[in-house]
Amino acid sequence: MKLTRRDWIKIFGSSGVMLYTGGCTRIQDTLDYLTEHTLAMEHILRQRDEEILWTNKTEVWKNTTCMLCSSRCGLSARVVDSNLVFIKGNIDHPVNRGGICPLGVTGLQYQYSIDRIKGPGKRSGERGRNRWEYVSIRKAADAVDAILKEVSGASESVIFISDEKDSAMAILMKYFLKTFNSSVIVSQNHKKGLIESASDTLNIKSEPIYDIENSDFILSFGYDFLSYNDNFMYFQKAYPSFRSNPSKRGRHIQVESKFSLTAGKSDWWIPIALFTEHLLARAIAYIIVKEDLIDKRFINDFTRGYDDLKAGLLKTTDLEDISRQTTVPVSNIIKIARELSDSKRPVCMVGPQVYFTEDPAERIKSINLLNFLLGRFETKGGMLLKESPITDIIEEELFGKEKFEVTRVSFENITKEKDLFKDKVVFITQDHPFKFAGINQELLSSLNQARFICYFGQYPDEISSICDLILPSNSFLERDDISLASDGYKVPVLSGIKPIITGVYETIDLSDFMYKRLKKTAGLKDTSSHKDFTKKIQGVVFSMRRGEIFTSHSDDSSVVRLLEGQGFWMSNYRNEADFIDDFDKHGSWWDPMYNYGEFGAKIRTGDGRIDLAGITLKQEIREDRKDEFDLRLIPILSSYIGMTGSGSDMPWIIEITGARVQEKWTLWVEINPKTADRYHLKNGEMVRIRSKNGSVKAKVKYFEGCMPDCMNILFGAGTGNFGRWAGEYEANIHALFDKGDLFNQDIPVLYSTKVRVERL
Amino acid sequence: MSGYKEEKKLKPLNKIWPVWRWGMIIDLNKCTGCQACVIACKAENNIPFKTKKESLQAREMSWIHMTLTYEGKYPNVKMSFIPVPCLQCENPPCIKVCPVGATYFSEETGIVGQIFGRCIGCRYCTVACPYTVRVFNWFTPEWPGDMKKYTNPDVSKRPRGVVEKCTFCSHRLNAAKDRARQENRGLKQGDYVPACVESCPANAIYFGDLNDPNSIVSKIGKDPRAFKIMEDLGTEPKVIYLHKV
Repeated sequence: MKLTRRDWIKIFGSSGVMLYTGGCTRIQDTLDYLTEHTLAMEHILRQRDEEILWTNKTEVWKNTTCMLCSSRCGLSARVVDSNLVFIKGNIDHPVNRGGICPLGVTGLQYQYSIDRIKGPGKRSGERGRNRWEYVSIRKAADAVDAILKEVSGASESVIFISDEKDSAMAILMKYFLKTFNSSVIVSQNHKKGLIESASDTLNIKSEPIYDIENSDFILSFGYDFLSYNDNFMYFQKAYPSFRSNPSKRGRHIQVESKFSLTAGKSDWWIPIALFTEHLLARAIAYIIVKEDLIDKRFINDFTRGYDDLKAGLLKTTDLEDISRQTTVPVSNIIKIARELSDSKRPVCMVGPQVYFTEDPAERIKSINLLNFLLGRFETKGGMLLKESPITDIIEEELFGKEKFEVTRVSFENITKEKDLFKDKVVFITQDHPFKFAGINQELLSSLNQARFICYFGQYPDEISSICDLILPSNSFLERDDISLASDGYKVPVLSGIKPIITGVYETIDLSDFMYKRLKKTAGLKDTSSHKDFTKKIQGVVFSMRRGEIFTSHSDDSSVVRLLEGQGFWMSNYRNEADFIDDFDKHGSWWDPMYNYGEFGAKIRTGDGRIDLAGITLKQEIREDRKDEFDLRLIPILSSYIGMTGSGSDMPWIIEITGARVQEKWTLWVEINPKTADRYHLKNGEMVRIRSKNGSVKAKVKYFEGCMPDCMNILFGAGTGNFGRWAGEYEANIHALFDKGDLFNQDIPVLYSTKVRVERL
Repeated sequence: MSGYKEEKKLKPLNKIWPVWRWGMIIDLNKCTGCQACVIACKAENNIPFKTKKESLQAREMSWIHMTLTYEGKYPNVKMSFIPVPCLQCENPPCIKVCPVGATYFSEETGIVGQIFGRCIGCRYCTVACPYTVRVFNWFTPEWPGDMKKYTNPDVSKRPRGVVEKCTFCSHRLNAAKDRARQENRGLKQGDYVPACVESCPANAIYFGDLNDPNSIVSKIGKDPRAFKIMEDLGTEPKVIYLHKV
């Protein structure tokens, strides 16, 4: 690599261009790194300042799939002269049907981010010093091969730290582990509470989804689904359809502790004290039972223990006490219950305010009970449990009955099993669980026992700094893969992930990289590539003889659906080659048939009935300890920022997330003017928010939508893992949260933090 | 050369293109406030993001902005949000005040355009616009590092010191016209769609020719929910809103 004088001036003179701006403590490290390892920096983080000269000779539109959240929307990207210049929604994709969210468009900034790692780096000096020297991809691969050869034959020698799921690469990862006699993937499941509650009641490990497009009444318990959910695009499309139903405009009641965007769109916002949603659900259940508003057919056919439940509810429910604890007047409780049961197709939804708390399963069950009482389970417009994912079918088809069972290890296990990483080869992918929770001393010392740590991410973060090798993989816009699912979508969707641009930086295709390692070090005889593997998956889907390639011309013709319901297959392709061609052209396949009313398949208790008496309806709430921290911190969750805070490093996202209070680039806290008055806080004043874990500086914004004695704050702000734009917040919101709450559990506890305000 | 021969066979322009009145309808009951329109517009029209420092000086730029308003006291709070692009007035006050003719009304399309090279940055138009949708370029636009690669080659990067605004993505109209002309036909529904309309996941924005009685905007524009912002000013905006009163 030739360095010009100009390059040297750029490197030394504009340290700002090259800093990881994660925190002050890192800056000195980075400066050291700059001066001592200029050449490595030149390769790893070098910025190119040359002007783009457009020739406009080539312009193509390519389809791929967005991987920035779990919705898995189809994208159409415009590439001019090998540069990606625009991203829009793929009209031929069933999830988004041409629409796109701001995060999807921001894929442009993710792709060309200044902070992106632009080439491989080998650790120079001790682990954790964050010093790197450039190595070529070939040398980096040789280093990985050498270490894998050393451990091949031994058992449990390789571990992945990755949240990658439902893609061909995720299957390959399991195959890779199996080949090296290993089985551990460290990952986090944020939905543990939801799954546990379904498992307890219905004996099925599946999370509930809500069919709101077919509902006429939504009662949402702490679910700000227009701002944050696992299938953002579904709600963006289904909610307008719910509201503009020509026969009857859907009614929506939002029960939440902050006035969210969703509350703003609802007909009635009911502020509720934190941790009391289950009490409100219990009180509503009491009214429904007392006034005999239940769905008798459902209760008789699919439940047992109703009489016990009824007796318990009528005997022990104290409406006045519940009203006092929830802050919801009794008259409102009665009104909600009657409106709910008067609707034809109501649905009760559970949101993060309920399931991102300690031990949420019991509280979720109280809310789900309302759906059971009204027979709103597995019916059109009600609460559904997702069909079993096609991932299982595909794995079984490809590898036979003897599937690769992996052990998914969560944070709790890491702290319990001190030697989890001892002498292991650890591979970390871009989406790894520690991006969300950060790392603590325990994890650090545990990881330090590893024999070798390799980071495949595209952006530097806390964990990359302790690795031995950084080998950046392709971004989702450069990757060739297949996505097997879309979280929270009721029917299976298969989406193609195609490389839109290639060769922008020195990055690897991780799937191909793994294949090559298997061949070189584990003696895999298979001569195919990852591309062949994805074709095999397409073949399996074809052989399932169901569903169709979705195009903008696809319709939901009832006749076709009726025939499909009778077992006829109405496909729009003739043979496997035709299927693959069409799939690649339009970007996706789906099976639009959802079999409502299949209670037998979803209620897997011994007698096929839901035990209502077994649902514990707690009357008590957690005791609130009186201490110096007198304000409740209520996080504002945003799908754009994400749980990992990665969106807070994207300027476009920063520019729009504060629209609710007209704030940009500055961390703000929303406070009720009356509460602010009590603390003598002025609107716009900078204050320090302190919890027992740490503090951040933020701007006070008066907000009538904030409950008294609470503060709303944007979760993930400034958390962008060393990103320079996230650094502009000059605050990392995660500092306020207990590491144990974020780190040690599968359920992130986001609503338990209490704070106080200090005037500056 | 073959292209030249084909060119000669094409119909004269006035036979192909009618006089359009491109208009937009935004259904506020459908809008979820996701702001995809805002970001898609920035990406399509080379609107640079501003740094924290510039943003704190209120120098942030956006051709379509989401206006959120709250009313009422806790707990009876109401929120409304309105995406506001340039309303493409039929009788635009901004044109009347421009001393150099940098902003103009296209009789062919009904779009209020801006000639950036001619603009002297006096900002009279910004003051005259009752909808405050014109923005001034206070700083030289910058796209750090490789970010300049995602700029749109079809749209100019405006220099410092000029006023800019939404053009209904008129460069897309030009491209659509080129394509249609090559195929010797008029424009079809969907040939020309601005970036904000295309991106909206809620399908809350409709776009089309208000002169065509069969266009979607002409039909939806008759909805009893339809209203125009500050209609009494007589600016006759071509962006119409729908909202249940």
